Parts: sequence; structure tokens; C-alpha cells
Amino acid sequence: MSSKVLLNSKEIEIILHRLACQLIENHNDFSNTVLIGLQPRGIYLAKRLKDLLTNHYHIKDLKMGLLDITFYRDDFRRRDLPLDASSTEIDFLIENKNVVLIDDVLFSGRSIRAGLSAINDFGRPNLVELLVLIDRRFSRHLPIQPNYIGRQVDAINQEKVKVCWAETHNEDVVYLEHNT
Amino acid sequence: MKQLSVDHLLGIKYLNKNDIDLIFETADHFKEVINRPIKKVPSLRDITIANLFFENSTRTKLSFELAEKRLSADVINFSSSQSSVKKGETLIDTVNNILSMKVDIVVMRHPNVGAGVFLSKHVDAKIINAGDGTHEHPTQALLDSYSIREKLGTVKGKKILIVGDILHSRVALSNIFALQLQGAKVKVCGPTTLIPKYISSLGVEVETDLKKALEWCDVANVLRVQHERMDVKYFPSTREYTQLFGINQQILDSLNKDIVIMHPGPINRGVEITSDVADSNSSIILNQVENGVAVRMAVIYLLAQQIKR
Amino acid sequence: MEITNPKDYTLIISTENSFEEFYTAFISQGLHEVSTHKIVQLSEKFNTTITNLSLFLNVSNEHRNNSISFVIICTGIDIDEIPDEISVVPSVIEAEDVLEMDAIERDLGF
Repeated sequence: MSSKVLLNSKEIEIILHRLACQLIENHNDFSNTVLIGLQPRGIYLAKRLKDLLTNHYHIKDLKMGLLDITFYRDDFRRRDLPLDASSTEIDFLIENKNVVLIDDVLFSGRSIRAGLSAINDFGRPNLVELLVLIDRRFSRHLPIQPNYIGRQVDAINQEKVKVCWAETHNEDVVYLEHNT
Repeated sequence: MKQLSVDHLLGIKYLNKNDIDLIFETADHFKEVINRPIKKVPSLRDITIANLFFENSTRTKLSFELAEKRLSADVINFSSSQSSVKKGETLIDTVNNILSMKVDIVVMRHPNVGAGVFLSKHVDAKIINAGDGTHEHPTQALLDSYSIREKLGTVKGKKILIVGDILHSRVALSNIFALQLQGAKVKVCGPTTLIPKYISSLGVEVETDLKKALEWCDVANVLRVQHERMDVKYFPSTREYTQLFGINQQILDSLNKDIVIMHPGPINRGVEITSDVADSNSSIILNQVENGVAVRMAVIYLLAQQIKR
Repeated sequence: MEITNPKDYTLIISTENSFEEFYTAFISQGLHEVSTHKIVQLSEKFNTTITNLSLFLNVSNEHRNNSISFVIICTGIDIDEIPDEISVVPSVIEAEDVLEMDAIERDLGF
């Protein structure tokens, strides 16, 4: 397996700032907007953006939640491996709010579909937008597109995009791994 | 290990510690689900579950039905009064009729010990034992332990007292198995005629003095006194039972510590437990009911996961 | 009366003309004594009554006390009237099911 660095920490930092600014352009002071990070890997990006918006861009009272979609997946009983759920923590109301769904990599779109179903069980949002760090452009199985993109990648199927965050690895890096 | 080690839930005796941990972790997730505005998840949309209750039960049946519906499964109910079902007579027939309607999971309560085992050998569905005679009632024991874990942080090392008619209680037997698997210490307290002779072979001590037993324990699980048993053979009278083994506020106040009170329900207020105790802060009886739905959702979900399309 | 041992039990099929004849033969041949698991098939033409069946009450209890199965195959009787201590089923298949369930019960220590 060979891996190549797609984004280094500096590039990721610049992208995070750009995404934060794009969010502010559309959502102002976030008084009617909430961020929801998709478990298990979207949560790191969501937390980073929340910290950035709160500490650097001085957004007050920014609400962020974590959403686990295990029970909404369309591959329950169709896989060989059993599913492993993480936690859902949404302690605010979704009703009539603007929701920004956040995940690290957008691939087939099935996780996002599950996320949309799950969100609707918490209430009826005013609108839902999708923010992803990496968009694997031509890998979609469903008609789902992101509103905010960190970097677009035209990866082919045998390649895997791996996002590493400083919280769990040494530093922020995005790798493109190829199975040789 | 993210799968159950068993194909059915017939009794706690067939489970290992990992199974119990997995059920509890999964129940944690479902507890969060049942506190949402929409208390459902779609996972079991294409699964059909049959509830076969050959013995009267409102609470357990309701709890299971709720759990099944919260998982979005299709549910069919079959109940039968005691008189029209004798031993294995209609069991196989009834179940085969139901199975020809493509049922994936059967939840069954039956007056015969081992009815679930028997069924699992003859029908092609996942079986969940909701109580088989005086044998086991595994989901009750699981929700009891889950409730203790919720209240005290863990079950391991805790001292659990079971009070009442141990002899005829499947709740007691399943609880003993479950608590010991999780490293708790168990004692029983009740009239000697209602304590089975094999109790010591299970590693459970008997304490006939209620006050001493309560002083010892961290948690008291109070069993229902079944009026049918209140005849001369087993015990003189309900009043005498209450005097010797009834839990009331005075006896709790006389202890030098706070203990947790549990009861599988339905409560005979004033007999095995007084209303003020049942409704007090020491009691986690209502939590047991809420947890029952989450734990049953977990068990059903984990068994359904094994059913391949 | 026909006596066979199809599997691990004794099957007693009545061939007599009346219940009384059958019962007399049953006792005189010592079949009421506890030995193997037993299934007794009563002929439909007996028009067996509850009173007839109650004669087997002691036999049934004796067998149960010794952890041996005793099942009667009989049709045309109101289930609700049959004493709980006597195991009555409508056919051989169900009788064999009862034997199996009894065995499971014994395995579980009851």
C-alpha cells in the first residue's frame, strides 16, 4: 500500500479558515444555525470548526451536536461484520433551525442519506446544508452534493482517503492511500 | 466482540459476560433513542416479530411490544388463556402457522419450563424467552442489572438481596445467574418454605432475618408475593408474611445506610412493600420500567442482526 | 391392547371394545406401574369421559413424582375439564412433543 499526502497541516488550517468564513457569510451570527458532526469521524471536523468560529471569529453561543447514524444505515444485516454504534448527543432543538451537517469525506453519499433521515427524527429543520473536508467527486451512489467543500478529489475506487486529526494522530494530515 | 455468542435468548445461563456488556452498551444507545421527539429507529423495518403469550402478562408484553415498535418492526400478537393450552399440545401447531407467515423472531412466555428450548429445536426463527414456567426470565434480569449499573455505576462487587418467594420465581433465578456473571454477591431472604433447597449449590447464601439482610445489602430486589401461593402449604397468611418480610419505611430508616429498592412489578402495595417505599427516592422501580424497553430493544436488535437477508 | 416401543417410550394402543375393558387390562398387565415413559392411546369409539380419565390420576402422579412421562391420547373431551395433573393430547405427534418437553425440563433441573 502506498500513500501520498493530499493535504498537510498548513493546508488544512487554511481550508478550515476558509470554510469558517464561508459559513459566516451564509449564517451570520449563527443565531438560527446549528452544527451537527456525523459519527464517527465527522465529529473532529465539527469540533475544529466550532472552536475556530467561537475563538477566532467570536461567534457567541454556537450550538454543536453529534449524530450517530448506525440505526439508520441501509446496510444493516447486509454486511458480514456487525455494526458498532457511537453516541448521539443533540441537546438542543432542531425545529426550524438551519442545520449544517459535517463529515470528513463524502464518498457514496449513503451516510449523508442516513444522516438526513436521522435528523428528521429530531424535528423539522428549516434547511440542511452539507459541509465536507474532502469530496470524492465521482464516487456518488445517490444524488447528494455538498454545499461547502474543503478539497475536491477525483480518487478512483481502489484508493482510500484517510483523514488524520491532531487529536488522535500526531498532526492534521490527509492521505491518499493506494492498494498496490 | 460485537455480536452475541448465542442464537436465541433462552436464559441467562447460556450467556457470557461479553454478551451482557454488549447488551448494555447497545441499550445505552436505545435509551437515548426513546428520549427523542421521534422515539423510533428504522432498523428493523423488514423484520416481523410474533409475541406468543401463553400466560397472562400485561407489563412484559407491553414492554416488548413497545420495544419492537420503536425498532420499526412489524408485530403480531397471539395470546392464549391457560385452559386452552396444555403442555406441548398446540405449541408446535400455533408456531408453525405463524411461521408460515414469515416471522423472523418469536417472543414467547409459556407455563412450561424449557418451552423456549423446545421451540428453538423445532422452528426456524430467533426465540426470545419472556418467561418459561418457574425457570428463567432473562430480559427481566438484564433490565434489573442494567438499572443497578445505572444507579450505582457498576454491578461488580455490589451486594444484592432478593426478597420473597424465591422458590417459584424465574425472576430470582435469572437474576442470580446474571448478577454472579457480573461479579456481584447475592443473598436471598424469605420464608424457608419458599427458598429452594438447591440455593446453596448456586453459591447464594440465605438470610432469614430481614433486618440483617437489609443491613448487608446495597440493593434489595423485592419480589411479588403471589396470592395463589399463600396457602397453608407454603405460608400461614399474607399478614404474617408482611410482618416478617415486608419492606416499609421504618425498617429502612433503622438501617445505618441508604439502600436501593427494586421490584419487577406489579406491586402488591402494603404486602411485600409499602407505597411510601415504592414511591420514594430509594426506589428505582420506574427506572426499571423505562430501562426494560431499552434493554429489550437491544436484545431484539442484536438477534435481528444475525438474520441474514 | 397393543404394546410397542417405537422410540424411547412405550406406546399402548387400545384395541378393546370399551374403556372399562381397556382399563382392566391396563391394570392387570401392571402397566400402571412406573417403568418406562408411556403414551396411552385411547380409542375414539370409547367416548371417554372425564370420570374415565380421572382413573388415571394416581398413575399420572406416580409417574411424575418419579420423573417419568405419562401421556394420554384422547379426543372429544373438553380440555378445560381435565385435571391439570393428567397430560392429555389429541395425537401421537403432540404426545411425543410432550415427552420431549418433559425431557428438556428434566435437563434444566426441574
